[in-house]
Amino acid sequence: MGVNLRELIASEAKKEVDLRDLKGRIIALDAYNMLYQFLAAIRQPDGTPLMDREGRITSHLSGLFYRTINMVEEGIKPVYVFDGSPPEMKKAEIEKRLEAKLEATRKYREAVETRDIESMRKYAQATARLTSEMVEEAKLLLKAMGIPYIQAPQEGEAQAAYIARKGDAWASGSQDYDSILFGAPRLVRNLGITGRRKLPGKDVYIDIKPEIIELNLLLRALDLSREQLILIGILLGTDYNPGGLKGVGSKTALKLVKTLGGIDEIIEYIEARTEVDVRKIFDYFMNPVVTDDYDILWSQPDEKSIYKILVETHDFNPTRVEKAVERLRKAYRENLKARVTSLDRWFG
Amino acid sequence: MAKLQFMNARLWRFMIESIEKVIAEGVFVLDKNGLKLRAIDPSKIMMVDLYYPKEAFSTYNIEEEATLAVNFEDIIRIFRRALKNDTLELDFNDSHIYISLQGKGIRNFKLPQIQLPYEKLPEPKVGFTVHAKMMSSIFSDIIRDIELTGSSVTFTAKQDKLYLSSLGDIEEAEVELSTEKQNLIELDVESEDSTSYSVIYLSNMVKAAKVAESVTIHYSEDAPLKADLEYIGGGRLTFYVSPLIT
Repeated sequence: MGVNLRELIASEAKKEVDLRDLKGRIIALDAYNMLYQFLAAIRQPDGTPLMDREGRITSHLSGLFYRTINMVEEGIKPVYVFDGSPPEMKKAEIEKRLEAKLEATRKYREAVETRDIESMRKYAQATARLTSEMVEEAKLLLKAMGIPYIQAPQEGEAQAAYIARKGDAWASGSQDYDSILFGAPRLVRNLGITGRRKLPGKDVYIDIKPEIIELNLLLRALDLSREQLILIGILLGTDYNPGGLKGVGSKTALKLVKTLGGIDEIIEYIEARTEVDVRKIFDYFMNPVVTDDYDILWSQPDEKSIYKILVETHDFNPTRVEKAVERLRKAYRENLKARVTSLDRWFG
Repeated sequence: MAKLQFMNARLWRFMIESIEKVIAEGVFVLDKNGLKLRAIDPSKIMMVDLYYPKEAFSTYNIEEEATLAVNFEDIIRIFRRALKNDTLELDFNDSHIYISLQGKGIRNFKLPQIQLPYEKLPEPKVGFTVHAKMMSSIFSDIIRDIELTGSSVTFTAKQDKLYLSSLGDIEEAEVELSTEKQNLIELDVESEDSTSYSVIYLSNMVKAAKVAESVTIHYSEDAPLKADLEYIGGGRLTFYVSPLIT
């Protein structure tokens, strides 16, 4: 999912930080990306997600609730950005994802038959699907928590990047790199999975920290323009041209773009070797459909509504929820309502 | 090779313990006047500004200007080994730092200099209206008291008194300071301003304050707080903390 720029991120362009280093920062989080991470990660050892008494999945709500509270406790000011309807050119990718999930479901059933716990977990994670009901519930929960969310007209990552570019947020937050291509000045990764995590397939735990990637530093390190970086993304494959150009990896893509240099030359080069409308994809990254119709305001958590959604409807442990709400109320008072300004204002 | 010697290694231990809470890495600049370090935490809420004049060192051999880039998490582990009456000796070249703690025994440590560009930071421009000078022990005690009850502290100045208060979930704390009660050395109030700060940032200063001679707080309405920690031999460690605005 998303464009994979991992191998191209120069060490000068990324920085590992602690959650507390993000204190006071507004981060526009890609809501779908976060919810998928919770769905995949918050599971029992055999891959069974958290469920309520009626068998409805609640992993996404658990993650959204507790992870968001962890963030605001550290002073981070989150705003969630939800995807709207996908652009037409994403159709192929969506079909591909659906196929992958069907395949994972088949393999999961096989693993269940052979009682292969490790594989059960692996394939169960890959079957994770976010239904529109789950998304609506996530929005209701955010509203009850007093955390703002924004409905993007199309891609959430594009909207998050737009908000950050305008300066209404400090960074976008996602595991995918797409918002960098959409022009976000900064991307914060690992926010949904910060902490101690088990490596897949191994009995090894690692400590995951948030990672900040700066667009300007990245472009400088690679000596590229943003337009060229977008074209590298297209060469490697984006949601709009899955797989990219056959046989082209990060190194080749970088070399190709630098050798060809000009935007039109690169676009022509790729178009000659693929079926997709490269110009259209490029233009979409440069000018995605976004909206200015949003407010980023945090409000007092509504305990009754939180309790109703989590405890009454979905059988969450009332004591744990009450304690977490208490932490949220405190964090709201100290970190969201009161604003810690940065010293920047006094450097004039 | 640059060489520095300082009589009291523990003083540096406590200063660095506070600095390390604010920044992970930093670049010291050493010139003909003395040693300087100015750095800001990644969220740009707290800034550190250290100056120690060359006269305070028993040895200060620097040819022209030198920079020393360190990872504070690494060097604090060594400085924590500084015992009472230990002398500090520090040598460095472009690639390595040699730290020697000399007291009852001589302990030598060698670690690599990290690669870190030196970025010159400006000083925040703030007009302060309240100035309060106190003994360093009083400052540490107040912060410890305030830490008990809440995570934010409000400074409120009256004509001849300074109040620090914190509001927790159920507890409240208030500390009253005045020259009359002799817990302040000086108090200068140009305007009766009131501003809040996160306690966590003030707590970062406590270790360094322990070994300071005095602490002077400067602030004004909705503006950063500046804390000047004065040390023996003319050393000064200044912290700036961004305000909480509600």
